[in-house]
Amino acid sequence: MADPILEVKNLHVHFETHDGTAEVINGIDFAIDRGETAALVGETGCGKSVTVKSIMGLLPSATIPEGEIRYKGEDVLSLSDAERHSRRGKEMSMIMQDPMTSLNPVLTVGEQMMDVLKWQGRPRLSLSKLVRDALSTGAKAEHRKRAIEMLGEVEISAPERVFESYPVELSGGMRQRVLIAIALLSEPDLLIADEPGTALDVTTEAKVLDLLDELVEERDTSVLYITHDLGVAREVSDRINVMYAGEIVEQAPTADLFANPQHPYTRGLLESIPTLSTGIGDGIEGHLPDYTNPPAGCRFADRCPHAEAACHEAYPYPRQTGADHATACHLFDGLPARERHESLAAERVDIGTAPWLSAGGDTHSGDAPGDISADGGTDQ
Amino acid sequence: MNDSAYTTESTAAAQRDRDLDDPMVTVENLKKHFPLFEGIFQKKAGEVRAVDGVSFSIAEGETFGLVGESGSGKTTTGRSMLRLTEPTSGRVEIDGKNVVDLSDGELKRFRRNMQIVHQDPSSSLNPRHRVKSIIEAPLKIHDYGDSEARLERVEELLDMVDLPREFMYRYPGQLSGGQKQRVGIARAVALNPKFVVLDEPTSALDVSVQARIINILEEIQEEFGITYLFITHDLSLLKNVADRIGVMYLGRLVEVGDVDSVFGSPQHPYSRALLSAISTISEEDELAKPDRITLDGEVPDPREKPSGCAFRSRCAHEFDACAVEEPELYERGPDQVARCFLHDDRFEEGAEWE
Repeated sequence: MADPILEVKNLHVHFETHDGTAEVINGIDFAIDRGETAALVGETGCGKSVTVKSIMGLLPSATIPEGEIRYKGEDVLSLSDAERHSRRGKEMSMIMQDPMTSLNPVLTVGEQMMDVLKWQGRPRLSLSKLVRDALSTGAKAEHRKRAIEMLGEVEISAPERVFESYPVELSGGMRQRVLIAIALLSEPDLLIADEPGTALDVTTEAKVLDLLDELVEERDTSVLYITHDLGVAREVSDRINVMYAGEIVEQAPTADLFANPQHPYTRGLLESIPTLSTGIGDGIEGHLPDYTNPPAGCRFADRCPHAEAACHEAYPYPRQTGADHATACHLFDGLPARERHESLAAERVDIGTAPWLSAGGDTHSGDAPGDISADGGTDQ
Repeated sequence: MNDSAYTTESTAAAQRDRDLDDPMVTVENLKKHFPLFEGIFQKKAGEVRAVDGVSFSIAEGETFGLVGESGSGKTTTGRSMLRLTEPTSGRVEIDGKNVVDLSDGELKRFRRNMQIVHQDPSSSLNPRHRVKSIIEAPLKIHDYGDSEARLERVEELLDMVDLPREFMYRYPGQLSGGQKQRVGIARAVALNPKFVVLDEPTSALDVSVQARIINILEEIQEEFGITYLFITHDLSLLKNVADRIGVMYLGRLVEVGDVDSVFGSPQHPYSRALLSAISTISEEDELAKPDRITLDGEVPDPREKPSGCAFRSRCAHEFDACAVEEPELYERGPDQVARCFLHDDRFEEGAEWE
């Protein structure tokens, strides 16, 4: 991580609720290198959308008591609203999750695209600007040309027609392409994609993901990819951060994570995914802890098959378990991945080592996905 | 595939043939057309043939998976089978009775034999009723014992779906998505039905919760021999739960067969494309599926289906005959049929199919 485009350090995000303060994000750290695609993977309610909205500055009701979000080395949390506004859309942009609701139904696709070009990087309304815009027709034609070009680039076959269409006239796949086109219009350096394929059919999703992949490759855009689907994350990303209950429990390069999943939550998640060759696991019993009253120790302990009494008390700081692999679990030894946890490392909690490691010696074995069953389907 | 594997498979196929001689559920040429109206006098201006001649059968205790993309008519098929929407024509025989012919009174009584688990557990449970009264509703409607017997049954059902008995007094709003879906399942199996339609029962849930729900459904099936129709868009899930599957495209079944044959060697270009689009979590799975096939365009407007084969507008193998007539279902294995002219000896284009 020599020169990361985005660095999140010890981020905490709290919300005030009727039941008290909800500590939704509890000290997460991750970074994205230039040109890299990083995935943030987790299930409903784990805080992945809150994380990206904090990065974009789209959470007016949240408080961020601690932490840094550095974009190109600059701490965006210390910037004024106007300064953040000027970076949003221009420097970093976002593809929203639901193509059905994130376009404005009363404006044509063209109007929505022109808005981006007209307003990008500008602090809100200024009268002189407005007058100048009204008088200059040249810019408008330029913007129109650029928008239609962009629609062509996301492989929409009749860009002029789509430019004049209202969102309801388009299918889900088309709308998702429009959203991608809008997000890429301003040539952002960082693109945040919040489950861009989830609302689509599989064949359409596969196409949209391939397209997105191509476009960011061409532009060397860095991407933060949010998904609940480890299969999708495996396809699109270079690095994966697995989130559970507002904490990053495991981070590793994609190939490494699948070859050697360590955190019991990651393993449980992998086992739950229906596969073609091995079948479906038992899932994970229980549910997310209450954010207004989170456990003192490991937030996953209540659902963890390997948890000991100590897990409920001691915070499982992320530790370095490999060259570029960090896991937040007491089952693993290693130096703290973050300096701020060095004091915790002194009082090490010993609950033994991971059973799947001591049993076979093969980090890959156990009931984790990996072995091929005898029944057909694999000899194609 | 080695010899022994082959024998086991063919024995299994023979067993299935026997079961299929006397199936629990038979659907014959089921159609559901929705009329379209136009203008101020609401003149009939055509129709959407959402389900357009679907036939398949399911052996007792088996799970038949129906897979397709949105708009393929899979949910409408399931709903028409239970007459939750009135089918336009066709025959649906469940446990020897043609459901389509039943009078309203007979239908109501027969419903104890056929139930459904809906897709979205949050909107399919009445938020103002407690779990107890939700699960009790079918028992009351079908005069199941007195209140004590019903209470006992509700407790039994909660045990079955792995929910604590105290949950009886909660409202759906107090439950998580997975817990709500368990209540939905308990309600569906309350009267020991012979046949249950599972309409995307887990698509609103996280995978770790999905796995639990699937396990519960399988346990219930094993214990009570219930026949399932499992509707989903998730092929990897279907590989794990179904015995046989049908692939739907624009209201028609394009491929039907036992799950291992269809996944091992899909015989319709659409099934192949669907399989190729699955995202996987291991190299083994990556190798087990066809190479990525990108389909041209999108699903056509169901009001204006292409002539001949409905899939031809997106098919890489399209040739002249495809536009002229619709292919029939060609036999491609002991229990596998596919609706594609590539398997017709009349045309030499079939050689393209490797």
